[in-house]
Amino acid sequence: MSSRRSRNLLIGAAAFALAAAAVSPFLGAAIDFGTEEGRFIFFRLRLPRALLGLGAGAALAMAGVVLQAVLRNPLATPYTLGVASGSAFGVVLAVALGLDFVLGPYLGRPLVGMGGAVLVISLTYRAARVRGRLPTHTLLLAGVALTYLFSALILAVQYRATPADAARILRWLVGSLESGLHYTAPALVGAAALLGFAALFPLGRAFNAMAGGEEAALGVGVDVERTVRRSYFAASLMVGIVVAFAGPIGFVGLLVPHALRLMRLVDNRYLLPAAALAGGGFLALCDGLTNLLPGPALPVGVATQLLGGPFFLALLLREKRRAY
Amino acid sequence: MDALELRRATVRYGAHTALDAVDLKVAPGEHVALIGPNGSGKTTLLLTLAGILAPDEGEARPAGGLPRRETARRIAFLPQEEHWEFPFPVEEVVACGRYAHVPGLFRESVEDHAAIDTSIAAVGLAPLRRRPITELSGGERRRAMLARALAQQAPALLLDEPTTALDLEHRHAVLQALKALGGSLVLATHDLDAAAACCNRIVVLAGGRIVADGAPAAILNEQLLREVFHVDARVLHDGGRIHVVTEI
Repeated sequence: MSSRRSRNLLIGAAAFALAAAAVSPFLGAAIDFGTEEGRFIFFRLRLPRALLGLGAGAALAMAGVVLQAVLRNPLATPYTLGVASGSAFGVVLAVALGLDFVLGPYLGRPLVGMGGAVLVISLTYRAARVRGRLPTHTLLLAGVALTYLFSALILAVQYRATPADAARILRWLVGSLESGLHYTAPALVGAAALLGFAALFPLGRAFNAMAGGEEAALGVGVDVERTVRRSYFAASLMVGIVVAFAGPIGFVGLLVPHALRLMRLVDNRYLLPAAALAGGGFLALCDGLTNLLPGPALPVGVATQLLGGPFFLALLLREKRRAY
Repeated sequence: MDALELRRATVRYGAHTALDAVDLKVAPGEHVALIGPNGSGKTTLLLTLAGILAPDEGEARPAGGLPRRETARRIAFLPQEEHWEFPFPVEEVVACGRYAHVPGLFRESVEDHAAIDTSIAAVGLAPLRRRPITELSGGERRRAMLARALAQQAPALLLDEPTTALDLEHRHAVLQALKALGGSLVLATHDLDAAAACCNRIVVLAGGRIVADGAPAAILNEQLLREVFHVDARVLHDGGRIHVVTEI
């Protein structure tokens, strides 16, 4: 079997995650650990951000792997099924209505965001069910429909908001690891990623069998219904928590799984943990790199797309040259 | 080993009745070919027999009511079409056939590996076993999926058009392998020569009902082909072999 290559790539992903997490907090202006200010910047700002990046990147990349596998759609992202739009709508509404000041921006936004995510998860699930089953094509259509609906609602709220609120909303929608919560956000997001991994990792062989189609998977003994349902809830809840704390950070969930697949890692038993590690490392590293840019720091949501886009194109072109 | 059985099985897709109160019993070791025009219910019958589709009325045995894994150890099923988005190597595609046998995520046994290897060899894909399935031709992909069904080592094998897209050499090899198969076989096909060659019973479907059922020599005749397929075909008997020939 080609498991040796897969195992080596998994080890490589682990090394990358460790290196990225270790390097990321040191990127940017040098830190003087002798001063109170330096220690504050490192331990209260940069380190929690790197840890949040690890957890959020891992969750997003795992959600990407799993949704691509069960929907059998290489273009599926963690946001395809509408969870992020629901979460974002909750936060946007909270900002526009000034709930921020009632609940406090640090925990209030994530709480409202989680509420929006849970609302969309249950709406999508109800809309997609046909005669007690959860077919993946109705799941996809229901998710896409709700994404559009909630995106429209976000635009409507944003359009009518005061300029100051509109700017705050825009900032949040780019996606950022600056939660202002120090270690609370990384702890909660990290716990969500670990629980998600525990729920999804045992399904690796079922995902492999589903790659050839649902009937083929049923034929070899996969309980497709159960696999889809568990994947949907685990991936959506993970994404809901990430978006609630960090906003809809783009591209990690699409790019990381594909980059690994282009390196010929397709076996989902290895791909899922490797994507979690590589996704976490990638997001932490991107966040550190934003510190290097001149001028006011850009949020990491810009960096993932700015770095991810060209990297992904290069991988694709290399693969194309090899295959055609 | 149980017989495969449908009892008054009816399957509807909306207002359309795809299978209309069908009774069918396939004894252990029996080789049955399902023939009939497009849309006559062959695929629906196989899906129902495999337990993948629950009939609206009637029942399927032994698949009905068994957990999926249990069913897959008794019945292997090759769907009519497969669709690949991700570049799984052939050997990993075939390894999925052992899904119901392997207990954990990684604990493939010596028997699992042996089943994978012999199945890959049986369809002549050993030289391509590390190639991504997305880079194979249609016929090669078909053979990989057939190997996956063979790797299940189930006493009953349900195949939906296993010989489509196969070249002459591999059609011959696959049919020989199927003919030699010890277990039960139900084969949906448009390849009437193949049906006659590797099955000892032919079941003819039309409009969701069984319209003829018997030995190939008794079933494949010019009158039936005219009634069921609406073509004037000649049936040639060459020793024990039967060939269906149409004039173009």
